[in-house]
Amino acid sequence: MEYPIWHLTMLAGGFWIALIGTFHVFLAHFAVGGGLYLTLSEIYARRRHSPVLLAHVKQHTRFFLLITMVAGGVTGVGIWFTIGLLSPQATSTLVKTFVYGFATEWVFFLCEIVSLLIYYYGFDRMGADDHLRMGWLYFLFAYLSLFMINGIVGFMLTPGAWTTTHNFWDGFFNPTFWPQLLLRTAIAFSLAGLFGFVTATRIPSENGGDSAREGMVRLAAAWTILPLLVCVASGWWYIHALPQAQQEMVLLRSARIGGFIKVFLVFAGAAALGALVLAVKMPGRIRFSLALVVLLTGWGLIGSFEFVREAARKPYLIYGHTYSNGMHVGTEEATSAKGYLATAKWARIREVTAENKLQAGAELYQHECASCHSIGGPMNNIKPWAASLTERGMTSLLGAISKVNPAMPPFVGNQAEKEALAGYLSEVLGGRKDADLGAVAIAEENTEIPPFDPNTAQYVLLAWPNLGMTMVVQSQGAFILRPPSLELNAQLVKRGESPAKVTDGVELSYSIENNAGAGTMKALPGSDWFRTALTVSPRKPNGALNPYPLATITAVDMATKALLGITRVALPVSDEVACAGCHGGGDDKGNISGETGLNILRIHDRLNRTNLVAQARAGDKAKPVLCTNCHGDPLTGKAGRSDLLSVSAALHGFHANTLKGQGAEACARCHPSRPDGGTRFQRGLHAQMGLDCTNCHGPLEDHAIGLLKRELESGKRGAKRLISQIAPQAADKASIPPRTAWVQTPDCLACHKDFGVPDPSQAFGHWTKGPDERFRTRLDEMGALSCPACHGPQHALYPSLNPYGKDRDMIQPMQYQKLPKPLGSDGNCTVCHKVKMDIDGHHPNTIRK
Amino acid sequence: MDPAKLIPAAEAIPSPWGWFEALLLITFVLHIVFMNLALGSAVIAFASRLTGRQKGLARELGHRAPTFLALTVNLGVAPLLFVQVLYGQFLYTSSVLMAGWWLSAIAAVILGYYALYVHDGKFESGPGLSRLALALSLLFLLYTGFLLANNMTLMLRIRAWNAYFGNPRGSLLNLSDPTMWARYTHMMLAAPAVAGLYAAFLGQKKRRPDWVEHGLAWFSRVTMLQILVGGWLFVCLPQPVKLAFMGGDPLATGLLGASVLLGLGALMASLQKKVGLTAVLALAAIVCMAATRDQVRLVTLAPYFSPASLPVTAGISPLVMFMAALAFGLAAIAYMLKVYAKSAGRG
Repeated sequence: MEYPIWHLTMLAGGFWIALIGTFHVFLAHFAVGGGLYLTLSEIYARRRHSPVLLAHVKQHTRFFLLITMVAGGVTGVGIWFTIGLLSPQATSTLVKTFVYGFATEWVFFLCEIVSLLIYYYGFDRMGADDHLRMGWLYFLFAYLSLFMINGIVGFMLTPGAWTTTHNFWDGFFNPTFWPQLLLRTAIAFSLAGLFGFVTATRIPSENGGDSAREGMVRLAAAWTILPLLVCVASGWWYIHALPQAQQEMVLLRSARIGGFIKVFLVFAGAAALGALVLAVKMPGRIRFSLALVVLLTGWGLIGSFEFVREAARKPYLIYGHTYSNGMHVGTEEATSAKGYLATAKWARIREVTAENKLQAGAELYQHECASCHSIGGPMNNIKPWAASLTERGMTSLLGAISKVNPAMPPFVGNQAEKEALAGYLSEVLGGRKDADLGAVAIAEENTEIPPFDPNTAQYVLLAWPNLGMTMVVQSQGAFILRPPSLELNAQLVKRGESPAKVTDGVELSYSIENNAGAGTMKALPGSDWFRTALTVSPRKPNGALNPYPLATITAVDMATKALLGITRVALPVSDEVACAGCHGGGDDKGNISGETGLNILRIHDRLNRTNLVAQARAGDKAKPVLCTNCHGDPLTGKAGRSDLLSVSAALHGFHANTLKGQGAEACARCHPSRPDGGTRFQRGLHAQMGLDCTNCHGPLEDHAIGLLKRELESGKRGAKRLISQIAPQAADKASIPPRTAWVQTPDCLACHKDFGVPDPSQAFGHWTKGPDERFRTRLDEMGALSCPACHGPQHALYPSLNPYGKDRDMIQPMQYQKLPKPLGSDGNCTVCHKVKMDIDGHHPNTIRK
Repeated sequence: MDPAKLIPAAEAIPSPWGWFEALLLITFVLHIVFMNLALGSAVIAFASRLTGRQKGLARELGHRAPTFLALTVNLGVAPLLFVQVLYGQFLYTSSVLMAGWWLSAIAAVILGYYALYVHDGKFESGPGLSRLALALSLLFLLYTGFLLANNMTLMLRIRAWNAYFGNPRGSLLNLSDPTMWARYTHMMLAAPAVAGLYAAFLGQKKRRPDWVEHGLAWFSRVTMLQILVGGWLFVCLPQPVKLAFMGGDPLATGLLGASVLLGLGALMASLQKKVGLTAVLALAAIVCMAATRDQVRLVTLAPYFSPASLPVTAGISPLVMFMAALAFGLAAIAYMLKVYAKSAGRG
């Protein structure tokens, strides 16, 4: 906002601070621990009256001085330079808040240098007591330096009460001050041991050097190993002293931190092991080389700790005060309203235009992203991420980035700027060129209606699918969320004044067009229906989308083999799930390709610490991820893990952030309801009346909140966070009642009160109480027929209009009453009853007066 | 674009600005004195190793140079801190403009520093390597000084900041600014003068009149040259700044006058071989020149910014902590130096 940005590409993303920073802390901690090591080693040498040992201590002092004072000291200044270059805004805040803390540290640093120089140059000429006193003074000042910096570094992660009081001491003695001090002290002592090996292994053999060397090497081993135990314990304390948000980031949310903690433990183990091996006597040259290698584990140890600390602090430089990219918390909204580029003093482009869109995106990238991401470099390379989303997907993500990934600061800017950045990321850095989903041309299919003679027919055969649309959600080789499984229901009614439902002595069989399946249907035990579970491909053999394949159902007298009835029904099934619109990898088929699937799994891995991509790509052992193994799905009865959200709650909850602020078009981003798509599953009466998904289900945000509230009741992980992130569009958050996906649905009778004239405003938020009240399972008041048997399936309520042939969903009304309305409408009771009826037997208002 | 609109907004400071200005001045003087000693020792040693004269002095100075450099680095931290408090919005900006160069200063100092140790360590055993190390060290240190001169002038030259819009890669320098070259020369030339004075001291202490002679010669010759360079620097200053130093601003004019007079006084004293007096006057001149340098900054920035305008946040206890630490630290240093001095000649 206020400062120019050093435009970096490969070496952006904090490369310089990581390099200089870890190198400096490696040496600086040695400077602290090594001070005590020197002094105690000198005492040890003097007590043993060993000139060899004393000479060694002097030798080690020279080594110590050259390492800590030159490289250590100057890289400390280097950190100053670097943070000033990469994050001038936060550096300014830090300097102005803690100038006297830094100044105090400088005094101690000065005393450190003076005492170390005197300790070294006075080694041979000072009395033992005076000299040791210099050693103690050195250690005192080195430790005080650590004490000061520890407070300031801790402040950045856990500013504690400072956030409100702005009091120096609140910030300095912050919540992680003491555990961090202990942890750093332990690391410092361990490093002293590791550096001790470097000189101890080179003590020459002359004048009894062998035993001196072995003694010092063993001492160095003890120095290395014992503090490591404290390290692990204080690391645990440190993590548990973190405030909840930072702790969640470390323990649950950030996939990167999990890796860094493992690296930390591996280096701690390697350092301990290395120290043990070094303690074994071996030829000098090998031992010295090994000592140098083991020394590097110390760099890894402290480096990985600093990485954990910095990653836990994301998305801030100063927690809750300054974002990682230098923007002040709380200024986002005002800046976005004015436009980032118009507000930032050093932006080289002031406004996005059609001509400069990608250049403006590049400028925005430098301002908002480059402080943490490199372009093809070693630190946090943005390229794979940029390549995994289309421009549309990237725009959606940017609008919700801080909610989707809590390690990211929010995007600040207006809509044009958001699109410019998304375009630059996706097109220039990701190398993507995606066309948006195009309109699908649909060719009408033949919908032959079986014959029915109301005068002679003895039976009426009804058939209906369990769902108005079975949405197939799977990606070849990547994951399976919902396979193409659906149910076909059928009911044979013997016509008469009191029609009877026939299940005994008859055989119902089905066959699906294009030889897509055939078989017999079983009567449901204790019921008067037939049902069969089917696996139906939404694709023709040539791969073309075929979302409404027709099934022909026949009823035959088992004894005489006489045909009792025949009808047809469309089995709505579609894999037209438009993930690729955002996640990329799409082809002209319109389903979820393998590449799209892997792009999605990659995001899941990143945000949830899973390893799904590896599982899906494990060579010979590769198997697609079964989503419902972890996330329950009430539709298919998969329980999932008890602590995790159901698929419906998870997917709607997540995408309510990225697809916020939209109407039914948000639904069509995933569901096959796009008005110009290849499925167009909204084909029933409601759609023709102008209602859309949101009338019954609510806008995506409202819908998601209902689902999440139910999950919250059983304490599912993430439910609370997602609810807190989502702002409902239409309803008040508190008033949205919880809903279990699929088990509860919008209650038809909420609008159609007493089966009367509807009031559409009542649909959202009035859920069926339980599974038996759902449209697809509810029975009429006589317990004779279920709703879809007469009204057609959900989303294709009669009169319906199917894009593949207008009567494709309406075969039975046309077959039995030649009228595109629910069975029995307009006095057509005769379809089953053979005679006109004058009582509302099935439900009130059956017979319209 | 109006360059003034580029200046970042400044945040509040924790004490009145005068405190920081004083701390900045004091610590800068200490930094610059040790810089002069470190770099100047290397220059004189290098000259003597080239000519083959005063080898003993070269060894003594070369032996002390790394220690001087250690203190230069440390004493550079404090003014760097205080200048950020008062002028951070200018310094961070100019640093970003020359970011790549600026960061390379760290590597240059480390290399120059180690090379000084190599020079000292191999003085007798590897004279060729030792000389080469000293030459490299000089190059690195002069390079570092060059970067500092660039940054300290670029931070004041707000009109030059527009160059960023053509080159945001951090590879700009302030080469087109005549004051940069004059300032750099002025700063670097001071080093052998001050180190020469130190050599003279060393000569007195070690009873080597030839060192005294040699050191004072360095001081006086370089200081004569400095009169010219100082004039060049003055001529290079922007007109409004020049006018301020020509009576427009009494304090600025007085400081500049005092600096010149003290410098001339030190020169006279050195020509009269009065080492102690030369040192006192030279030190006073350095203090006045550092204050003059502060005035240049204040006057240059005056159209845009005055540190007096910075809001001050409440709270005195951190300052008390710093003062207590400083008192304790200085006492500790005095004690340590005393103990060290006591042991002189024993080892």
